[in-house]
Amino acid sequence: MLSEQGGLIESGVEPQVQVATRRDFRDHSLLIGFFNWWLFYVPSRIVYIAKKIMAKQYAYFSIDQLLKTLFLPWKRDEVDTSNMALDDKIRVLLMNVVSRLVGATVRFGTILIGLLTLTAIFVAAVIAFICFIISPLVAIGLILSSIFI
Amino acid sequence: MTTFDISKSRNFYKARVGKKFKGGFLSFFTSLAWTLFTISIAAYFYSISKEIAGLPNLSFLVCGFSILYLLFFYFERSYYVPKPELNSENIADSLGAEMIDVVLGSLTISIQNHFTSVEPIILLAALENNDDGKYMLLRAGFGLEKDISSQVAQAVAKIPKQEAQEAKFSQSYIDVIIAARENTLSNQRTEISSGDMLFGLIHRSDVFKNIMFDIKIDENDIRHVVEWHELLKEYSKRFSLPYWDKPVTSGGIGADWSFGYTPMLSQFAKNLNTEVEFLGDIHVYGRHEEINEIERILSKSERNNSLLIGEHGIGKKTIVKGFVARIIKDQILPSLKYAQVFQVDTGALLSGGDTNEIGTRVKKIFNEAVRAGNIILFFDNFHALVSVERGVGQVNTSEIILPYLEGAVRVIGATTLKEFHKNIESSPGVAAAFNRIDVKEPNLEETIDVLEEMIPFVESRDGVFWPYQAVKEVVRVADRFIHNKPNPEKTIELVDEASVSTAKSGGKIVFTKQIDDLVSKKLEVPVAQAEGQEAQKLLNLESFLHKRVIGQDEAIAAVSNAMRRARSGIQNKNRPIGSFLFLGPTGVGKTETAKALAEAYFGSEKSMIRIDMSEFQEESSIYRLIGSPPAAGSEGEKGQLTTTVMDNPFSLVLLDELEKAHPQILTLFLQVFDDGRLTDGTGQTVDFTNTIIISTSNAGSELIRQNLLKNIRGEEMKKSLLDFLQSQGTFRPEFLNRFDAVVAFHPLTPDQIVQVATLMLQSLADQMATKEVTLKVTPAALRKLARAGFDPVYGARPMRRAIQDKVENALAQSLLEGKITRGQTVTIDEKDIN
Repeated sequence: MLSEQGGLIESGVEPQVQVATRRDFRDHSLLIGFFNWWLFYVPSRIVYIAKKIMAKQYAYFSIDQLLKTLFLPWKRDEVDTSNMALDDKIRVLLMNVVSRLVGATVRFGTILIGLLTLTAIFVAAVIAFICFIISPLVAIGLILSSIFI
Repeated sequence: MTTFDISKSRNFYKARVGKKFKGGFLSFFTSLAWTLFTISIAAYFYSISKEIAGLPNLSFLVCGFSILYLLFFYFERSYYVPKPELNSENIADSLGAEMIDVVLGSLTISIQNHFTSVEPIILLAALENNDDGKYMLLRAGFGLEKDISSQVAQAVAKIPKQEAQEAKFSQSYIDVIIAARENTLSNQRTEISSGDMLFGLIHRSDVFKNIMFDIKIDENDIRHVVEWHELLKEYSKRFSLPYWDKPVTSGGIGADWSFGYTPMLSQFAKNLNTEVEFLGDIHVYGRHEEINEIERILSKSERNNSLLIGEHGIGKKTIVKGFVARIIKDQILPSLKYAQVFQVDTGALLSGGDTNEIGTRVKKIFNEAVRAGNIILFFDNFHALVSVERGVGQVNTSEIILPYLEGAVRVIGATTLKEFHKNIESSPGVAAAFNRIDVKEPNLEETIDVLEEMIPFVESRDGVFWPYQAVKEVVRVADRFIHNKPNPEKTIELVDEASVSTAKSGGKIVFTKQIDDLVSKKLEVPVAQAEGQEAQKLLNLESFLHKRVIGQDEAIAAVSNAMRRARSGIQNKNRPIGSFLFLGPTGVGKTETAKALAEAYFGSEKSMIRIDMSEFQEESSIYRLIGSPPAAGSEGEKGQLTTTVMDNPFSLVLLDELEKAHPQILTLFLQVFDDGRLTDGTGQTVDFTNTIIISTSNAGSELIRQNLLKNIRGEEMKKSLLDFLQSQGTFRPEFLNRFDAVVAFHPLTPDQIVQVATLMLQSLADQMATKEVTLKVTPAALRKLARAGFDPVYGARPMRRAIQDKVENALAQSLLEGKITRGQTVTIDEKDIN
């Protein structure tokens, strides 16, 4: 048999430092705790995870960097046209424009794929969010319909 | 009122219920619910397609219940997790799940053993069953090198027993938990850990404190062990983070599409980003401040170049690699996000061409870096670029690079302080373009921090375990005995070697003894702290020295005391082990004492460096002693003293006839006696902290003789001698004051001469014994020999010659003639000595 007698401390030292811990569903009674968990805790976790995954994908596709440098020449491959004859200048300028166009096309394509991925993650997160919120109601609905319909 | 009552603790209740959700039948039902959920959905669609009546309803029912069960399970599992409340009046509420297990464990042990109370020693046993607790106790060397089971058994035996199966928490047990909670609060943490419990134990449990004292661990060490463990847990946590919580790494698609090509740089430099990435997870131990500083400087828009200044081997390149690792891990400021660090091969860049060609090359490299847009140039030996001297690999390109340094390109340079003053400061513009970062040698505490980051990798590589005592020992030994390299390099090397040698010998734990043995073998010095046999040897040093030196009690006592101070670790670390001035006439045992000491301390009299100071009477001869730098047309001279000590740092240096050296040369030794180091002719610092320096001099011999006739001895003799030496101007007072002891060697008495003769004949007898011939000398012969071997001027010095002439020659002849054969006893009488 386990005996759990408590000892009494006569000169207990009161803690001097207060360490703040965030209140969450565990601090409430079982019933309120459940509603807290169902309607706030888990949904906020889904939002948190979705945000983190989207941020990672955003960084993976370097979207901000690609947007900032959308029309820069490919690998800065541009020829300086000063001190050139006019016909050379026109030819080189044309090449430079082509270099910029190549860069822009590749970057634009990458940005597009990146945005599609982000949208897919967003949609998945919204579905997960809604499914979780309605899951208890759906479960009860399914049981009732199986009995009464 | 503060209480400790586990029956009223909400957390204890939660922990007990929560256990049911981990494993067991509830977990089985969870798997079942997931399976039924999947099957019911599949069944629903199947029934629709095949139009099976009744099946959709059943599917709905199963699916609905599965969902409800899963919701119930996952909610309950996260709800019944204890949430420590550190400010609660019931201390039991401040415990988290793990510590509740430990407390319940100690309660169970006490009940099973019929103890009346739960005592701290039982808490220790319960902590050993906890993963973290067990690990930390092992780290603290608990039960590794020394058997502590008897101490634990004794403490357990003291707990009163009873018939009933119940136990009450003792006051000292509760005190331990209170101390643990205070530690948690002072560290601003939210949960009491097993580390806090260990703190509590060392603060409030005398038994634990005594055990720890026995295994050489104190409170501060426990703090280190706990912090070390927290650090490692933090690292392993990073590895096991879920995908979304793992840090974003740099790179990604298209990161370098907007940065230029670098063909010239690829020829003269290597891309450190690629190298660090290829090596995998590179570990730079410590040095966080220096890396932060580089990051801060390089992110500025102006004067964004940093110059690392520090001695060779202090870790400048490692710091740069640590910085690169941060770029790769994307733990860097946004302006450095896509940066690529190129380490320029300065040697290749600055050689193989005339000055113009090299200048063009340098210009091209900088141009390319500017054009590419994301390049940071790293020059190891940056001073070579702005060298004031001309030669192979030395060019002054300061005029070329200066415009680039003013914001166009970011540069990291590395150099030593000497080169910085010599070369870089002579180009004020270049010096001003850099922000200086002094890379300092870490102190012992910081070195331990570095090792704490490094050792886990060594452990997993070699399959060995490093208790904290071994970590402390390796730092102590490296600091005390290795002086030719800076920290942390020397300690890291030693850790590497000790790990490998332990693994090679099949060991699993690196003990302090193995580290001591390794360094002793490597440096040929006794490294272990004076213990056991060695302590006995030190305590009996006088008798050891007396085996070779006759008389001279005062000198031997002074030397022995200094040695004991050195080996017990209370001497000043920045001075030689001992410095003595031996005064006295020739042939009284000054050199012999030095030889005996070299044998006693360094293991062999071969570890004695003997320098005849009468060869250094001219001021110009100083360079023969400390060496000279290479000058035009000459290679430079090696220092007779400095080079030998540099090669053999653990030696006894005997400076014979010191008074004959030039006074300017004697001044050199002031810094050796004071700081334990000397700067040689080439500017290198030679370490003397592991040497014993003995100077001998005949000055004042006559005074010693007269004082002895007047029966003046001890302190009085020393005082009159010092007064005499100063009044004669032989040695300056500041010079004499630097010695640990000035010792007067007395002329030998007739009895002592006989003893010297006996000692020498004994070694001859030992040699004869190897030929199975027993040598005996009659007392009369001994006296005659002593008379023949003594000279009023040279003391006992002619004794060796006398024995050779009068005994050894005759013996050799008889041996050759066959008059003496194996097994014979030869007795030498007075008449045999002519």
